[in-house]
Amino acid sequence: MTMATGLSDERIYEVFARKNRVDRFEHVGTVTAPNPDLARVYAWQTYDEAKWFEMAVAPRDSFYAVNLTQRPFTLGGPPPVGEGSAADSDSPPGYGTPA
Amino acid sequence: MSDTKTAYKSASELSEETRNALGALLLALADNKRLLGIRYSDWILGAPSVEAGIACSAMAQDEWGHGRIVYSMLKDFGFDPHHLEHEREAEEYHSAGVLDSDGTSWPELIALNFLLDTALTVQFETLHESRFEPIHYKVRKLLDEERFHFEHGRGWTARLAETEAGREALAEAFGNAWTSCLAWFGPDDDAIATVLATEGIVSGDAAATRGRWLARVGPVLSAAGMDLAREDADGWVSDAEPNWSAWSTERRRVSTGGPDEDTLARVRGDRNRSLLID
Repeated sequence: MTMATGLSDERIYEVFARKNRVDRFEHVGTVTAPNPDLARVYAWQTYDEAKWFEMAVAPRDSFYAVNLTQRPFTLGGPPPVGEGSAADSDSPPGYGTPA
Repeated sequence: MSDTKTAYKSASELSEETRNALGALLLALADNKRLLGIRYSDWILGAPSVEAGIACSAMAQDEWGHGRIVYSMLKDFGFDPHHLEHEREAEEYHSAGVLDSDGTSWPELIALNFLLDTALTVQFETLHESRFEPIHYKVRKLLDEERFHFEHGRGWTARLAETEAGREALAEAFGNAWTSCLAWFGPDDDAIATVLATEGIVSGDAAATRGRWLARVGPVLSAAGMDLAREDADGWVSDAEPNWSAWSTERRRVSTGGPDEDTLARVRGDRNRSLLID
């Protein structure tokens, strides 16, 4: 249940984008949305700091952990580029405190 | 009858009748965009989520940008853009009746977002391959941005339809906006739409363009439990009939009147009048 809408099934979506066809995708941030349509709109309108060649979203809970037991994206570490840079973080990549 | 393949490079190459018709259509598009931007901006704070507020902010900026681009084109059609943007009275605005006063609920904003914004987009699509070439690049950029407006409206319509209370609020808000949006395209024999379609300035007459809009919004409305449009053998249709006796082809609306006092002050920028630089 989210306070904002009173509607029950909002999900966190991870947002990935790349500026050029030859680039790798960067993880640029997250949005919270009730359905994939709105997740796409929110991602595009929120992370508009670059003229992206391609952007994609996926529900956070669709990712499977590979080496750790915790769900991906739920541990601390360098924030995605949309929310600052690795230089802002006290912790080495992948070893932050749980969010 | 002119050769329908020749492209027009400027407004001065159009016949007087065509120039007046296109000028009127562009003014109505610009006015609707400007007012719609205000309605989006009302929800930047207070939308159901931070993300929805950001979306409203982006859509407001898009609408004002589109309005500004179209107002600036109108200089070539004999209009004074400064006068258009800052000096008109309510009855001189060519905006849809549903924009005359401020809505108070989120579903009302979604009705404007999904029904009216899409109606304007469908109209711009008819200009995409217009014989009037100066508009091509502008329309392409605008349509690119409008994709996300449509998806926002569609996403929220589906979202609200998930609950009983949401369906009731949707039905009321969309029902109130419906006739005003349906009327945008005009009656089948609408003077301006007919001239522009015959001249190849737009790709469809009033009936064709209205049908295109109904086909766009109809399936989403139907899935959300609203019976405003239905599909028959000829495609999506609406049984509602605007009161065409009050239709103004120039203003693209069926009601007299115009934006209320508060809306007018905001759309003209009255509070910032002293800051205007000639």
